[in-house]
Amino acid sequence: MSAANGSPGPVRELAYRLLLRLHPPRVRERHLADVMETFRDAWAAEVRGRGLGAELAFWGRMVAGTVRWRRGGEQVARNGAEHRGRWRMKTKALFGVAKFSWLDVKLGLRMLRKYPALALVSVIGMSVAIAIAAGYYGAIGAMIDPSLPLDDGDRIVSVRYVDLTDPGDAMLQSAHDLVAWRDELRSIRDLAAFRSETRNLIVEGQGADLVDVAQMTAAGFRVARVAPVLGRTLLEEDEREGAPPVVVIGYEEWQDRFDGDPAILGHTVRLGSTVHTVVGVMPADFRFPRHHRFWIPLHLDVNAYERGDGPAIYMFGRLAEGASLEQAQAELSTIGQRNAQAYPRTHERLRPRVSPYTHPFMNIDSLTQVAFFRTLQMALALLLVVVALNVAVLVYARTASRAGEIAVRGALGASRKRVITQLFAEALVLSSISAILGLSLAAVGLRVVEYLNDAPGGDYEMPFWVDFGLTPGVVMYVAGLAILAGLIIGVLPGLKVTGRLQAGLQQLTSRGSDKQLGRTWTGLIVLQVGIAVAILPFAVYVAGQAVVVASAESQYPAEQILRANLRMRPELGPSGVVNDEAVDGLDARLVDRAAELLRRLEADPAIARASVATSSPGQGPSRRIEVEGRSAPSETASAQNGTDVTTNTIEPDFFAVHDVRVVAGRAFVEADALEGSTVAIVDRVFAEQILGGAALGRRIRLADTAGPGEEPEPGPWLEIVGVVPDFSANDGWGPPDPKLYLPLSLTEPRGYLTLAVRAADASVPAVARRLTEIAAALDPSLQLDGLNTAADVDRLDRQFMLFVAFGVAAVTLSVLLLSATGIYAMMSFIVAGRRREIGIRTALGADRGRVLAGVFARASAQLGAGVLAGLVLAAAVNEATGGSQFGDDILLLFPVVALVMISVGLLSALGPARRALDVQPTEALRGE
Amino acid sequence: MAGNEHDPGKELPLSPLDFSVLLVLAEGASYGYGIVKAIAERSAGSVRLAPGNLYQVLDRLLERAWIRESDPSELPDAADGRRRYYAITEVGRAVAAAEARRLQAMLPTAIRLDLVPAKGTP
Repeated sequence: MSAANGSPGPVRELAYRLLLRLHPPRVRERHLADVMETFRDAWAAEVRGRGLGAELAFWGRMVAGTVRWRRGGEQVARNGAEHRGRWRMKTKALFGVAKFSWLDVKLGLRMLRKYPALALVSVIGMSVAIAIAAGYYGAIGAMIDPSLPLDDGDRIVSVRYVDLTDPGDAMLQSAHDLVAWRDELRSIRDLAAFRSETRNLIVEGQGADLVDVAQMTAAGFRVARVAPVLGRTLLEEDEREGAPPVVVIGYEEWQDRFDGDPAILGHTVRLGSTVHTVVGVMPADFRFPRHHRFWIPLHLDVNAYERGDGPAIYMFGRLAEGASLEQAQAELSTIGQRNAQAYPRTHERLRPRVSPYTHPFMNIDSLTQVAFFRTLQMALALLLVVVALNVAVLVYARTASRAGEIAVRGALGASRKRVITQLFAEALVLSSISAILGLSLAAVGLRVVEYLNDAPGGDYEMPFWVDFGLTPGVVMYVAGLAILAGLIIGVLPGLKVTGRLQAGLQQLTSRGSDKQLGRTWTGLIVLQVGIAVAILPFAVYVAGQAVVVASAESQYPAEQILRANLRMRPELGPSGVVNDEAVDGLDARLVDRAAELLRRLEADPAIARASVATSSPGQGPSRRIEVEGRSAPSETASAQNGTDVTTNTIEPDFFAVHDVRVVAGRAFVEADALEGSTVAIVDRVFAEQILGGAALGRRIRLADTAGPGEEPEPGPWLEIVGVVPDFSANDGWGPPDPKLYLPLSLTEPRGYLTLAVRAADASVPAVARRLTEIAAALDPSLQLDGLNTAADVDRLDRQFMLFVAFGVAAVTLSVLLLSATGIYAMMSFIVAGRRREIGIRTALGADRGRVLAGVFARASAQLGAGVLAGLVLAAAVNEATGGSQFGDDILLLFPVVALVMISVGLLSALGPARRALDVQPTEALRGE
Repeated sequence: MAGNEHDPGKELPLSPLDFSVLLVLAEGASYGYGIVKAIAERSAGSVRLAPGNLYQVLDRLLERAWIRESDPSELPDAADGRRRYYAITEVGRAVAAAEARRLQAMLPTAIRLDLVPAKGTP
């Protein structure tokens, strides 16, 4: 087996290399490669695929091995005395962690009790930063660097063309390339291809369901190396013209749809326009090539297409025994160059590329892109470093105030290392708590993302190799972050304080030592305050709007309304050819079927009302309009030329389905859809905002009816014949948009329509089932995409908005806390540094107020500078985004935010200031 | 280490790990994780060496010429070209034998004192 098979990955290897540094240097010097090879073997045999428990046990053994070596060295190594001595000195110099004890941890916990505010601030700040870093690492790791959970998964590769002038398009290869490469490539075996189609799955007595079907060549199953649990996989014979259509189904489908019927083989199911015979069942969880549970043969007739034409396909294969990715690329490049010369018209700009299997699915075209993701990851880890540095300053201030205690311990014989070890232990207690909290937050966040994605109405099914859970890798990453944070907040201040100790305590308490919090720190604090002020208004606005949207109730009986997108997708059948003409034909067929579907639905007793439109309520393209009698630049809106409104083209029953009454004028009638008709309906927002109230009889027109690249040309004048209320639930951000409704003609071809059906008294799921049956009976290729109740779709939107609000609030809170922390630390320094001065001044009878003013002066100056900088930045951002993006209300937030920030700042300065006033002259002088 | 070759008895007693590794290699050449696995199996899973520790032992045994790197030509067919294999030397075998005899000589006493069950009992 190759090393690539189940490699532990760079992070684990690095971790073990670091552990090895605690072993005698001789082993590293002489056997490192072999040790690492053994490590890989051990990891692959004992951990791979066994989950977090095995991983933890494994690392426990690795660490224990290191410790055992250290403790029992004498016994094991008879010749190693000299190494041991050298090595002990080295590690002690490095860490001094050796004497880490329960006592240190207990002391750390006691510190938490003693300084609860510090602990709270640090833990909140760090756990949010860790959650962000871990969430990103988990999500990105799952997407860009997944291990394919298949036998020798990392030897499965994708092969595709990259367009030199447009590297983004991953689907440029077609049948000709497959045939050519399959015959020629030596370094890739079993070159296979697939394409994905969404089709109606129609099983007798079960209505219709939309499923993604993989059309895959037989070689695809050989690449996956997974055997069916029943029957067979696809064969080359199935791809021949005239072969009977067959399908292989997934285990879950077999269980759910056919009750695990052992006699399933030979049953037929309809997939869109063709009926297929089930010939095999794949094992549970098998979803290769992407997320599929249905596999049908891929018919690629090279003679039916010109070179470079034909349906785009994904191509993949397995690296041949002993071949590397680089060798495969070299071989492919040679073929690519020849093709570019032979067929310059189609292939001149195309370069074949071989990459890890998952890359084309994630649009990762180059290492630069991977590097970008990794850089962002570093930046997020840096966020934790910034937080930790803040906490470090705070700890430094506290440690400085514990100088006495530390000095006593030093006098009693505690070494510098011992003191630092204890501070490190305290810091580790803090950072570990933060890590656990952060990890939990990240886990919840990732689960929410996954839930929102998987939920009905969610985006799309994730590829089978993407796992948004907390993988051992994420846990280790967070453990690393926690140690890093511990080092920053424990060891840095410790080194500094004890360094000072050696130089004498006087320096710490003498005048002018507030310079220790140098310009960098001061600058950083000002910057933090600035950033907090700058993002606060937007954060408050976004979170507020998210909550508003999340709590919006729809103005129509959403629970009773089923919604779906009507579509007809082209199918590549045994002799089918997918081209533009076929697609045009489908568009005409779609509107024709939609009209018939409406007729049949209206006749069904389970259904109260049905209608189609181009968009759901509240959605729809934004168009620019002009109002008759007004010069083109409308004075009522901020737009320069006309007004933007949300348009929806609807069929007469649209309002009736949603139980919305026309408040003035009339609804559309059939005749309005005829050619030459010039009527429109607007909503109340439109009437009030754009027309100033009375709307009936007014005339408007679309300012720009031209397609892209054409000269803009206004459409015909339209008379407003009706006004309806604003009834959409999720209108998006800010105040509701004005809406314009236009009559829909069901003779004009369209690729897409939205169907809305209001159930009569029958239960909604039963109506949904009935709906799919009626549609499937009408035309098996008529698809009801995203069939769901309007309420469910709205609910998902609301949940997402709440998630956004929560995320924004968490980040904002931690930013605020950070700024407060910075100010607090700075004030503590000033007070600590000026103890003696304050003491003397108080002794000389100085006014308490003036003393306090002196202490506050610097904090206020920096606070002011930060707030000012932040406001300027916020205003600039607001301007840059066009001003109207966030509504005018946001300007009101600016002074509020400034006030909040100043209050927070002064509050954090209060503690240290009080300490300043408590300074007793005698005490301050005794410090000398 | 010169001189060791002549009298294996001078090296006794062996550390349990050294002895375990020698016993594994006495059965045939093996590589890093192969040795780890074999020791784990013989100890019913109670001894599972970390790679770093294993190589500590191997390094020591190599140093004393009790084991040596194996020649690729004498490897079993299934051996992986990338891995380094180790085999026991004559000296190593002699030392292991001496240690085994030493333990064997102690065993009757242990049995008489009922510290271990006598031969034949499970």
